[in-house]
Amino acid sequence: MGEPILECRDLRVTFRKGNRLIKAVDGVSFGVEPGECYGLVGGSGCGKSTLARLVTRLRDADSGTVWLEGRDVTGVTGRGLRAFYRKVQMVFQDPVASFDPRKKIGQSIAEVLRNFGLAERTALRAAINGALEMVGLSPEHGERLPGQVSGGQCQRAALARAVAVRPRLLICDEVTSALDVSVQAQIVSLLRRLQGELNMAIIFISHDLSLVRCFTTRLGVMLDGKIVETGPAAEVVSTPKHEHTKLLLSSLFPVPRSAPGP
Amino acid sequence: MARDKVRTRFLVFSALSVAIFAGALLGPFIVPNDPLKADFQMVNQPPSARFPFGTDKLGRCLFSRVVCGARVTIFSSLALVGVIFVFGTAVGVASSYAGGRFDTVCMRVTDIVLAFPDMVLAIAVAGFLGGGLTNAIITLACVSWTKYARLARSQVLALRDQAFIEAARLAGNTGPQIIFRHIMPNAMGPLIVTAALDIGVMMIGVAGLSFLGLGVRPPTPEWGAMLNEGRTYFQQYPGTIFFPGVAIFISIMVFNLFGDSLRDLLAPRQPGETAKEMP
Repeated sequence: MGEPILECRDLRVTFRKGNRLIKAVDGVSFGVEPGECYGLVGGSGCGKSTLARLVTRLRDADSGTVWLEGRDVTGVTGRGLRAFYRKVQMVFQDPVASFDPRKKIGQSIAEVLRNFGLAERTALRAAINGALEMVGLSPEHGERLPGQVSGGQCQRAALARAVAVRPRLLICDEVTSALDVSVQAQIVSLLRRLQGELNMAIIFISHDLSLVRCFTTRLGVMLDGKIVETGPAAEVVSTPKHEHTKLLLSSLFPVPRSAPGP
Repeated sequence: MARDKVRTRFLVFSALSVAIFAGALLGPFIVPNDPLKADFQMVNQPPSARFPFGTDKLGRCLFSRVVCGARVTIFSSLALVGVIFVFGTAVGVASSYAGGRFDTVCMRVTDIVLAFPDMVLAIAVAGFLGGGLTNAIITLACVSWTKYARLARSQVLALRDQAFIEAARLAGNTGPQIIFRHIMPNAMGPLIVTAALDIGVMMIGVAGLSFLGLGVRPPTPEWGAMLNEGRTYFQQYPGTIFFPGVAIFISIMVFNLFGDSLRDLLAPRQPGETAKEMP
């Protein structure tokens, strides 16, 4: 294995809920190789999304470090943070909510291009259209507000905005769960194509093991803030070691064999 | 459809508000008499061709004084709303954005100011600063900025954790860029509506302080001060109170209805709203 593009070491976050302390992320360490697709699966509340926000520096960890291409980026702010986002981007679960409701989709994409100095003012329109085209949208979609396109189109636009900076790593946090099944498949195949074209690594976070296993090279299974099992996707699926992985696998079938009758 | 009705209402009340502003602005150029000129031959006259609203106890033209008084009352209220809007919003946004101890201090100060009855505190501050229009505005600003601070703070807190703000951070925006490009435009709606509704409230404040002798100094015409001047002669010459009173009443009503219609216009549209309201 080569040098990981991103590495997390012993990340921890604790929330306070009433009098109880909840360890949302409890000593998580993992690395992502350049160009690979790493899957993170787990039930709701297991800390997947919190982990995603630690990795993208949207929130600070109580302890632990995040390393990008061998550099510690745990404490970066300002300019350093912008340089970090030049290489690491993220797509969110709810596509419509991830766009400023007052701005046209094209304007939101333009903002990214401008902030990272990726397009001259005169070439901005062409760059926006290029980004939209890349995800299978037309320039006309850029003229609409996020609420005026379908969920699938909006998620495509969110992808366009994220890959417009040509990141080295894309984090997909439940990107398909707000969409219906046929659209899910389209988004996943689009992600695959983009990964190949742009040669970027992906962290694909989902509760849906069937989706993750057909798409990722390695995966980690999360439970209660810890990664309880990790390994090549095929191996984890064929010979699960941890009880929770077995449970997730068994829930793939519509009716588990051991389920009691009605 | 209902949306069109809302828009029409808004247009009507904006037009009326603009008409009042225009009247206040142009008033001094179109009045028939000098509002400051006393004429003791013409004391407490009933309405006539020369004095459309009659005269007051010093023989000054009431009509001219009401029209010229609009300028002081309305524009000082507008200036006041502008000041508290900017100051209160800045405090609220800074407080919620900085968080921590600064936030706590700001909010406790706001709580303390909110704990006093507005007018009582205003009278106390005005008594301390002395009379005069500028002091009246400072006084009212001191006690009225708090609701903008509170509102702006809650707006920012509600927006801060939304996905599109996180997306804006990923898009390479710095903190101030996020505030000015994404948070403020989305937080402005309720603040602007509050400001529009506050014009009337501030007019009452300015007129109220002047009525108590803590605002505009005589002989400057101002509606609240005119009410006070006419008070003693009210029973014999009701015009001295009636005309400035009606002027206050009408302009506050117009500004409040303007604020209401603005609120309706900016209210978020429900998806499928048009379909529901089809007959």
